[in-house]
Amino acid sequence: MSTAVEDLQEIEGAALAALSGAQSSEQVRDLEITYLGRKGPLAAVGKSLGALPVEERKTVGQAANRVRSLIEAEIAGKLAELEVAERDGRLEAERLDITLPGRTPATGRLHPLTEVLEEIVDIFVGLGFGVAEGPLVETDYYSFQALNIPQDHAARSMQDTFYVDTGNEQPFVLRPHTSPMQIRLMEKQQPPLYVVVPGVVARRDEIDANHLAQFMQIEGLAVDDGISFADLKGVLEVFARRMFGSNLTVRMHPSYFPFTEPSAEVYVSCFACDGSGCRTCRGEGWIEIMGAGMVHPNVFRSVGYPPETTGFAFGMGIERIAKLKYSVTDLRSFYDNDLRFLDAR
Amino acid sequence: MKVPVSWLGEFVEINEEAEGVAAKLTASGMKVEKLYRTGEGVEGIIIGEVSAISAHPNADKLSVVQVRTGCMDISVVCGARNFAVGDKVPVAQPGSRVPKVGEIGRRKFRGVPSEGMLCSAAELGLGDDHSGIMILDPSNVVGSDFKKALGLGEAVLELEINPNRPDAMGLIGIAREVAACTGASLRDFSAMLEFGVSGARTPDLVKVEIHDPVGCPRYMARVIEGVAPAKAPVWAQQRLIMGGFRPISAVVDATNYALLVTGHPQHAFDMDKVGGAQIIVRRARSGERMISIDGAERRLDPEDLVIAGESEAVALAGVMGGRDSEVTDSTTRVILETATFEPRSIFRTSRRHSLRSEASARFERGVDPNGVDLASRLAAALIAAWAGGNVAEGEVDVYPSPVAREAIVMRPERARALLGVDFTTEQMTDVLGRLGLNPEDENGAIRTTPPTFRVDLKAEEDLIEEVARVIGYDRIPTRLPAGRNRMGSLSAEEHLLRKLRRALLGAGFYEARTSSLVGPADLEKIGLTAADATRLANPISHDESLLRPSLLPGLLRSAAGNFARRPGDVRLFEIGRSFHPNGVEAPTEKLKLAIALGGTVPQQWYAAARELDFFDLKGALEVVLRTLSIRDAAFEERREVPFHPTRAAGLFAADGTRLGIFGEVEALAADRAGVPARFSMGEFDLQALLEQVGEPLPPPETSRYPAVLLDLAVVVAEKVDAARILGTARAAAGELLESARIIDVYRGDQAGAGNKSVAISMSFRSAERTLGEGEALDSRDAIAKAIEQTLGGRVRA
Repeated sequence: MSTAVEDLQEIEGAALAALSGAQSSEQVRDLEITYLGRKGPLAAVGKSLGALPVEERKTVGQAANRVRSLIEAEIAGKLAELEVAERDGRLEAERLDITLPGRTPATGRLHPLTEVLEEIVDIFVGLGFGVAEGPLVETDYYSFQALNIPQDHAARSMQDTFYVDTGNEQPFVLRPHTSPMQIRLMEKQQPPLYVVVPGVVARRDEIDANHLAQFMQIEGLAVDDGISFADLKGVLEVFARRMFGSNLTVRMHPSYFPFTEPSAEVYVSCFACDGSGCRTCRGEGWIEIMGAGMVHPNVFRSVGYPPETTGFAFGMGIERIAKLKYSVTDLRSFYDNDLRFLDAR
Repeated sequence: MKVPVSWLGEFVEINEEAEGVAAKLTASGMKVEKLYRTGEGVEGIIIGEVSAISAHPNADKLSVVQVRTGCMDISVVCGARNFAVGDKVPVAQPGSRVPKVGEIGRRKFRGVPSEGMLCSAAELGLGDDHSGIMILDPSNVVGSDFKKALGLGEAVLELEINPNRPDAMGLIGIAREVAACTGASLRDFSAMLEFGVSGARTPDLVKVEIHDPVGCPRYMARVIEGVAPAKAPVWAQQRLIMGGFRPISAVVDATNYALLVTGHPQHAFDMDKVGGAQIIVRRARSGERMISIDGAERRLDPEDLVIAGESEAVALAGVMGGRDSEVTDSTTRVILETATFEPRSIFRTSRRHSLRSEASARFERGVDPNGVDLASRLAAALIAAWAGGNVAEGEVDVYPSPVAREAIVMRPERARALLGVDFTTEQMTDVLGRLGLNPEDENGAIRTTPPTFRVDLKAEEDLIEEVARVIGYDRIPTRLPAGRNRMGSLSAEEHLLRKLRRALLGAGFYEARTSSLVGPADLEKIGLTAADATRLANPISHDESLLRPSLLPGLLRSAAGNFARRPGDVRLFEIGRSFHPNGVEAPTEKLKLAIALGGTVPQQWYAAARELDFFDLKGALEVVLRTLSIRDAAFEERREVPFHPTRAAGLFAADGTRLGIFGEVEALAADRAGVPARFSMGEFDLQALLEQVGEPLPPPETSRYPAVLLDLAVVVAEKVDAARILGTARAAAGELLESARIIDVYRGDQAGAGNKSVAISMSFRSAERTLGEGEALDSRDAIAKAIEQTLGGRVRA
C-alpha cells in the first residue's frame, strides 16, 4: 500500500526538481506532458487505482490529486515566469538602432529667389494688390520714353542697356527695370489700379559679387483717387515690417528717379543688429531696400490719364532682398544652382 | 564729391557739428555717403627730404631712395619716380601706420632692405591720386610730424549728388543746400572774385565766334597776361587732392579750384598756341584730328563740338583740351574759357571717345549759362594771385539767347493732397524762400521764379518735392490706401505654377534659375545654333550674347557644375521663359518647364545605389500631369537632337497638341556637356500645358464588394510595347477588370531570344455583388486569349 504513496512522493520530487531546472517554456510544456500526460506516471498511478483496496484507493487517489495540483501550480508559475523573460528576450532582440537615418523620400527645395518672391508677392496681395507680368524684350518707348526718361539719358546708352538685334528700325531692349509694365497696365486699364509686377530684367553691368547682367525686380503701382505720399509710406512700412521684422523702423530719403516726383530711397533699420551697425548693414545701421515715389505727371500724360491723377510706384531687386535674408555674399551663387547652396537655409 | 567742412564754411555759416550737418543734408536728399576726418589711420608719418636716388640692382621698376629724416638718413625701396632729390615727402618708418597699407615694417625688396616707405596721397587716404609719391611744400621742416604739418584731422563730407542736381556739384551749391536745411545764412564771398586789371582790354586781344549756338549757348573769354610758371599754394593743392584733382600748375589748378567751388568747368589755353588769337566754337570737320591732353590722337566726328583757333581744333568742347594748346611752363598769356555746352552733345562726344572727365560729367548734366561770369571771375582772380599775371580789362561774352527765369506756380492744396500731410501755406512758402525760389502769393497759390541753375525745377510737382524734402519725409504721416471694393489676388496661372513647383519638390527636384542670356557654345550642346536665337546688339561677352531659345542649356550647365563638384545624383527643374526669333519683331516669349536628372542615387543602409534614367524623368512628368489634372496625354517615340535616338519621347495632349519632348541625352552629347551617361532631360511648353488643365472629376462610385486579385504572365515579342499589352487586356476583359498594371518585365532564356516576359497584376471587382473567383478566372482567360491571338503572345504557366 505504501508503495503507491511512495511512488507519488517520488513523482512529486522528480517533477518539482525537473521543473525547477527548466530553462524555457518549451521545456516546461514537455515536462507537463511527461508528468501530467496520459502516458505519464500520474496517469499510470490513476490507472492502477482500480486494483487497490477501497480504503487505500481513496488515500492514494487523494494523494495523486494533491500531487497533480501541486505540479500543475508549479508548471503555471514556472510558465508565467519564463514567458515574461522570454518575451523580454524577444523584444530585446528586436531593438532598433533609432539613430540610423530614416528612409527619406527624395525631396527638393524652392529656389531661394522664388521663396523670397512669393513672400513679397503674398504680402502685397494681402494689402490688396494684384499681380501681373510683362515681357523681358521691350520697346524703347515702354522702357524709357513713356517713363519720362529723356533721350540721351545714361540709362538709355548702349553702355548701360542691352539692345536686341532684330533689324527693326524701332529698337528693342532688354528691359532694365520692371517699370515698363506701369505703362502697359495703365494703357489697358483705368484707375483704380493696385498691382505688383515681378520679373526678370537686364542691365549691362560687369558681373561680380554685387552685380549681375540679369536679375529680378518687383515693381509696385497704385493709382487711385486720393493716393498720397502718406499711403506710399504706409504700404512700404507694412511691407518692410512683415518682410524683415515687426520691430524695425522704416526711413525714406529724398532721391531722384525720372518717373517719380517726389522720389525716395527706402531704408529699414538693420534687422541683424537693430541699427547699431554690423556687417550686414556695413556699419550704417540702415539698409537700403528699394526706390519709390509718386508717379510723375509726365508718366500719367503718356498713358492719357488726367495730369491731376495721383499714384505711387516702387521697385526693388529680389536678389538684393534674398541676399539680405539668407546672408548670401555673392549674387552669382543665385544662378549657379549648386545643390549645396539650393539645399541650405 | 568730397567736401571739407572748413572749406564749405567759407560759403555758409556752419553752426553745428559736422555730424549734424551730414544728417540734415542726407534727410533732405543730398546724401552724405560718408563723414570722415582727414588723416584717420595716419600714425607716426614724418616729413623727409630725398637726398639721393639710385637704381635698384635687381629690379628695373624700383629705385633705392636715401631720405633725410632729421635724426638719421634712411634707405627706402620705392616704385614711384615722380620725385627728385630735394623734394619733401611723407615717410612711413617701421612702426608707423598708413591707412591703406597698415602697419609698416622693415622688409627686403628683391634683396635690398627698405626701412619704411614713401607714401602717395591715396595711400594716406587724402585723395584718389596714387600715381606717385605726395610731394610736399618745401617750407616743411624735415623730421616734423606729417599730420600736424598738414593740419589734418578736419571733417570731410563725401556726398552723392543726384544726377538732376548739377547746381550742387560745387561748394556754392552745397552751401545753398546747407543753408536751406539748417536755416543758417550764406556768407558773402565777393572778395574772392576781386582782381586788379592791367591796361590791355580782352576784346582787343581775342575774338570769339560761336558757329553753333545750340551746342554752345554762351562763351566767355578772358585773357590773363604775364603769367609765370608757378604752383598753387599748398593749402589749395591739398583741397584739390581731396577733390580728386592732381595739382599740375598754378593756372590749371586755379581753373580746377574754381570748378570745385562753382561746379562750372573752365579751360585755360596758351593764347600763343591758339591760331590767330581767335576762338571759334564749331562742329568738327570730317577727317579732322586732334591730340588730346592725355596724349591720344582723336579722330573727330562731325557731330563733335570743338573749340578751334582760326584753323585747327584746340579742344573737344567741354570734354578735354588739346595737348598742343595746353598751358605749360613757357606759357605767358592765357585765354580763360568759361562756357556752357548742350548736355546731349557732350554726352555723345564723351561716350564716342570713351572720355569721361570732371568737365564732361558736369556739362552732361547741364551747367547754368547765367553762372558763367561768377566762375570766370573766380578763376581769373586765382590765376592772378597764384601765377602772378595781369588780368586784361573786360571780357568777351558771346551769349546770343540769354536764359531767363520762368515762373512755376504751386497750389498748396495740391501739395497737401499729393503728400498726404497738412503743411501750412506759410510753412511751404518759407521753405521755398529758403531755397532762393522767390515765392510770392498769387491768389492763394505760391508763385516762384527759381534761379536758372535749378534745372531740375520744371513743374509744380518739382516744387512739392522741394517742400517735402526740406521739411523732411519723416514729417509725413503713414496711412494705408482706403481703396473701395479692392481685393488682392494671385492669377489662376500663378496658383497653378505654385502647385506645380511644390509637386516637383515633393518628387525630389530642386528648383533652379538660370540666366536668359546664353552663348553659341551652350546652344551647340543641345543641337541648336546661334541662328535659332535672338541676338543682342551689344553683348558684354560672346558667352552671353543670345537670348535663350530653350531652358535646357542652362539646366545642363547647372547639372554639369554639380557633377563636377561631387558624385551622386542631380535632379533639377526650372520654370522660366524662352525666346524665339520673330523676324524684325520682338521675339516671342514662351513660358517653359524644363526638368533634368541623372547620376547615381548613392547606396543607403536600406537600399542599393541606383542610376537615375528615363523612367525617373517620365515619373516626374506623370507627377506634373497629375498635378495639373491633365488626363489622356500621350507619349510617342521621337528622334530629335540631342536625345538618344531610341530613348526619347514626345508628350502630346489628347487633342494632338505637342506639349514637349524628353528623353535620355545621347551619349556623346552627354559627355561633351559634362553630364553622366543616361542623363535625361525634357522641356515642356508650360503655356500649352496650362491650357490642357482639366476640370476636376466627380469622385468615382466605389464598390462595397471585395476584389479578386489575379496575376498573368505572358511572353511576347520584344517589339510589343506595354501600352499595347494593357490596351489589349482592357479591351478583352469586360467591365469586371478594375485595374491592370505591369509588375515585371523579364528578358532571358526562359522568354527566348527576341522575346520578353511581361507580368501583369489585375484586380477584378463587381459593383453589385461579391465576385466569384471563377468569374475572375474566366475574365483572365479571355485576356490571355486576346493577347495570344492579337499580339502573338504566349501565356506562361
